[in-house]
Amino acid sequence: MSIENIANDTILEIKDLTVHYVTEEETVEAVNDLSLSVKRGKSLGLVGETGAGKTTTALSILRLVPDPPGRIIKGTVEINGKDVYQASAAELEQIRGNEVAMIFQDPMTVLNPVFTVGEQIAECVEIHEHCSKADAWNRALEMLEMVGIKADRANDYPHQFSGGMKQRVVIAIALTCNPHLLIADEPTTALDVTIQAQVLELMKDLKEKTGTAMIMITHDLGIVAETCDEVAVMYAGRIIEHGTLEDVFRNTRHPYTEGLFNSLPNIHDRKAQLKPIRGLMPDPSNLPKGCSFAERCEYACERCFEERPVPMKHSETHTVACLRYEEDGFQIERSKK
Amino acid sequence: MHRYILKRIAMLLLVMLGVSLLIFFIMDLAPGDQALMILGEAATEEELNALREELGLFDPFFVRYGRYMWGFLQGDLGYSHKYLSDVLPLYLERLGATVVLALASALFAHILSIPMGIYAALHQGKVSDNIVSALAIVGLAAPNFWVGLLLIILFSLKLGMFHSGGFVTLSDVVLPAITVGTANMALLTRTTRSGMIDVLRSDYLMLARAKGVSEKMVVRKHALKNALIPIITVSGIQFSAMMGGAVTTEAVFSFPGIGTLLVGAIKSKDTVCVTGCLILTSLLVSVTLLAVDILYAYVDPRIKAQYSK
Repeated sequence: MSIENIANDTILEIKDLTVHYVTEEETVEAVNDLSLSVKRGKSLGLVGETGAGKTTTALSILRLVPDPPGRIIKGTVEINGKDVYQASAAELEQIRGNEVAMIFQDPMTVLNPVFTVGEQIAECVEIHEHCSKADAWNRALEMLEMVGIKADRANDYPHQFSGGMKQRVVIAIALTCNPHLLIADEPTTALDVTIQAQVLELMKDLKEKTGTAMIMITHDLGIVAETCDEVAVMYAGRIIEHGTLEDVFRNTRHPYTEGLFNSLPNIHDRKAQLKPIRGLMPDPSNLPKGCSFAERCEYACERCFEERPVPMKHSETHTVACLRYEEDGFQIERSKK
Repeated sequence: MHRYILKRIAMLLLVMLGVSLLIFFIMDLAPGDQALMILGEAATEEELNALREELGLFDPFFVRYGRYMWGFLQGDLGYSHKYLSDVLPLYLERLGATVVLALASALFAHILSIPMGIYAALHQGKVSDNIVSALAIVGLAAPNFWVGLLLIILFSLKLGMFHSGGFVTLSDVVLPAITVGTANMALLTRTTRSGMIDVLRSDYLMLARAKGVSEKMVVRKHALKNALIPIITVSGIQFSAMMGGAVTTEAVFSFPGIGTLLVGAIKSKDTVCVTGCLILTSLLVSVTLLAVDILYAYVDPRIKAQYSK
């Protein structure tokens, strides 16, 4: 761990990460020049619509992007000061599950159908804590109880659990080795609404108990507001707005973020029409030259189609990538709710 | 699970009833006259008829079938006039050789095909994968007897390492096993490869990696156990097919298995021997397939859960 990182307590530092999926037919530019960092105990919400590159970002942190077709074109990912892409296989295994754990989107498919849930939790303990099988098993039972599953179900197989229960098991696997950082990739998307609330509540509780830092990947701004300290909004593989919850929610700067808020249903006026952002995200295998949002942006000017905006600081914590802010007095209008 | 097994055994008995009936019916239609076989060409029509009467050959079909099956259940499968022996000991004697050959060829096929299939799946689309796939196609396409002849030329005639035929010592099984095993190995390699490719794409391997499981264990533990189902299916079918003997291979190596026994009996129209051998072989095949089904349950808990219902 470098001295700098101890000083500022940074667990994860991503710099200029660019990930492409290269096939014979096309190159999908999934993540482009992405930089972000997460500090100990903090939680960051990574928000964006489907295809914005959120999951690719998450996978690249643990060097899990399938290759082929995925390729890390440039950039570095450092976890506790160690570069993940320079790490040996043994170091990587140590990072995975122990320093950084991951919760995947679909609990239906991420548990191995031929091993009991107890075995799958205990395996993680055995790998990282070098303890006896019996100790690992006992720890697995504890973890099951902690996520609200009776320990006597440890010998059951994944198909014997409901979706919400499976996600609890996945959470148990993720938290069993007390990771410094937990990456939750849309942990509630595949669950129905009532179960979503339970699972989120559980994650919040456990996060407070264990003090782990978290990256919450979601397209749901409500979840972000509830669970995160910081927000990064992704669009077409880039972070276009990044700040504290307050910065992004109260002082929204980027037209895309504004669009996201405007497209939320209004609970006070149920008859009000949703205002979706018009158009679609550009094809990531054929990104435009200028700002990738320009096509859909009601504030776009000629320059936006020509030049790619770079992230600009608006305050100590708030960064926005939008060219219009270079003009004096530019302001977006947030429709009132 | 136990109830499932009992149910399957009950079903197996039903199937055996049907199969034996069918075999008996077909053999009844087939040419061949026991009386003629016993007495020879020189016998007169009166002598033949007297013997037929004595053997009960004039009785109605179901009476003869019932009598046969009653004997079958007591271990009396009749007397083979071709081999001059009771059918059961004859069959059991040959069965030993057939089982040894089946086991040896399965061993040969599995030892090579599973690592090769896994290797090809892990290097999908690369040159090594293409080489393995090409070898598998050659193995599938090469006719048994030709592979057998090549092996004899190389290993027994040129190198003198093995006998070219017979079954005296255990090493005599090596060449026939390779001969039969080649096609099996080729098919199993392809099955393993495609099974592994399906599994390698799955999310649960991603989770295993994210837990910090080493790549070696991801493949050997998490992926392989899931890919085993199609492998067991194919090897089960192959093994049960081997129970009927490997006719061409046995012929090439003059190997004393069930295949040659059956062919010899058919050639000399020894209906008693053929009927017995066929029914016993069907029984063995059914039992093997049942064993495979039970094996599934131990590999995949989802199947076990279905069985328990």
